[in-house]
Amino acid sequence: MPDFIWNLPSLLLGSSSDGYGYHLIPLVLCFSGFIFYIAVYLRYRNTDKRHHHEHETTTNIAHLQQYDQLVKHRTKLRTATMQDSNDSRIEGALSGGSDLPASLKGLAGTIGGFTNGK
Amino acid sequence: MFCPKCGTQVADGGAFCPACGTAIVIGTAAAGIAAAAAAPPAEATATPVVVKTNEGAKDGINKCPACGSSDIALNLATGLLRCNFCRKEFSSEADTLDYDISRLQGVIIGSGSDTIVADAATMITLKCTACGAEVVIDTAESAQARCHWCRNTLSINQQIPNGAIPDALIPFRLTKEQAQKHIEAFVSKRQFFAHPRFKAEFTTQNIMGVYLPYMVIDVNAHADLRGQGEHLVRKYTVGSGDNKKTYYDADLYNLGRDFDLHIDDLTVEASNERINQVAGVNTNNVINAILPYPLKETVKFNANYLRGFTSEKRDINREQLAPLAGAQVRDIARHQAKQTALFYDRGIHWDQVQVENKGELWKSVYLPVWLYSYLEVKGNGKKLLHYVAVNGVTGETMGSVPLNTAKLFIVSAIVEAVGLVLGVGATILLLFAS
Repeated sequence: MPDFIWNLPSLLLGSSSDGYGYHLIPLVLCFSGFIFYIAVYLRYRNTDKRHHHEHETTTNIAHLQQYDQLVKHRTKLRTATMQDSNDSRIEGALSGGSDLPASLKGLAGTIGGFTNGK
Repeated sequence: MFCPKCGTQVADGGAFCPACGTAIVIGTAAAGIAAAAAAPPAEATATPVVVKTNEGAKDGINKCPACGSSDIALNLATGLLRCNFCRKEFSSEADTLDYDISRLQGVIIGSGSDTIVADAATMITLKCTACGAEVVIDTAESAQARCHWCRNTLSINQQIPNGAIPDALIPFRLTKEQAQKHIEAFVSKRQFFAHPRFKAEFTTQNIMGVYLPYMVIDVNAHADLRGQGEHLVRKYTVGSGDNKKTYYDADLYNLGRDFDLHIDDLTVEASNERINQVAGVNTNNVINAILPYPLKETVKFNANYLRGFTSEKRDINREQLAPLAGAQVRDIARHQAKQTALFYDRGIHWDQVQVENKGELWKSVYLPVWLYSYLEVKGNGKKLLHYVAVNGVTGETMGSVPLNTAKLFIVSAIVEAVGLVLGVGATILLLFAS
């Protein structure tokens, strides 16, 4: 079962900005049929499944150098997570609606040609 | 340079002779790796170092080392080749195209991974070394054929420039019976909303063992990531009643991560059909989902491993796969950087993800898959081929089961109706409570 289905209530409740997530329970109930349809569809068809190359590929890192520099203290933020965070972004997944084979055609080079992505 | 077999001039970097198809090899594995180690970084290297992975391989009769019989097949219970005449079991040599990733420089490729020549012959004629008869093998379909006179099995073991013979393979370890149980267990958990025609026609008797083509890549890279991250300091609520609001205080940091990245056996599909994974159009993603394989178990290609199974030949070149592999390397760099920055529990925004490649090692590999397929013809005439795939080594199973959409729609409508009633009730309760 896709994680987001199970996490949906907590996501909705957790993202509530007024701290009273249970106000969203009626909303979740009102969409329960749609949620049920998507959950069953994904369980049978598994259209969201893929090889998680980003963490299933054996990888070692070495000679780590790092810096962490405090810039400022932010107060009264309204969201539970950082806006515009992209640390979980995935570019190299084959599934997800993109027709990669067509886009791959005509491209040539080595892996090393890829820099400056975000 | 010139072809060592027929003397025809071959363009620099060419992997096969355009006249006779002989593989042009720049040294052996050890020499190739040594040459690559002295080469400049990958980006500056136009010509990859080709390492011969089928040295000593000969087309013709693969004989049992004990009795000389050519009746040899894979024993799934042991993963070894077994002579069906004297029962001796033996293995192909271990795949030696491996290297200390931290020392990889330039681009190294196995000779079975080199560029596919568009007009390479797929019909190969071999002279049977037992009786002298000429036997034709269609390499697009199989790497073996039986001599029609003496019944010996003839094999193609030398690499030909059509993608049919890879550098290495992993033999099947799961038997057909084990794979059937995996598939039946998978489908039995998805019965209630399965399409009635599918339920009536479902049988695992006809599942196929297929060797699918992949490119396996080792990468020695250097990653430099820079951005900003937020660490949660305080979460608090202000106000009362309906005006309560939750706020978050966080520290904002500039951060950077700079490290060497050694990626072992990044695996990507090497056939146009399998790499095309568009939801709703095909179900190839379920085959992708059964990765990874234990790639340290690869052995050198031997056509006898394919006996009793089918195989798809590679039809994509390394150059075409490089952009995809590059994107996956960046994904891995981002993931590894995140593991070193768990302090930033509210997230990180990377402004720069720079991956400089120092070395790559590419090899083509056949990987074993047990495949159940079912062609669904929808009411509008559209067809969709559903797969249930089982990893032929680990047993990991994933699949797509045709849905009875009418039944699912009706049940969802009932759930929606009940949900609406409960939702309205909950709203009224909340209004009274406040």
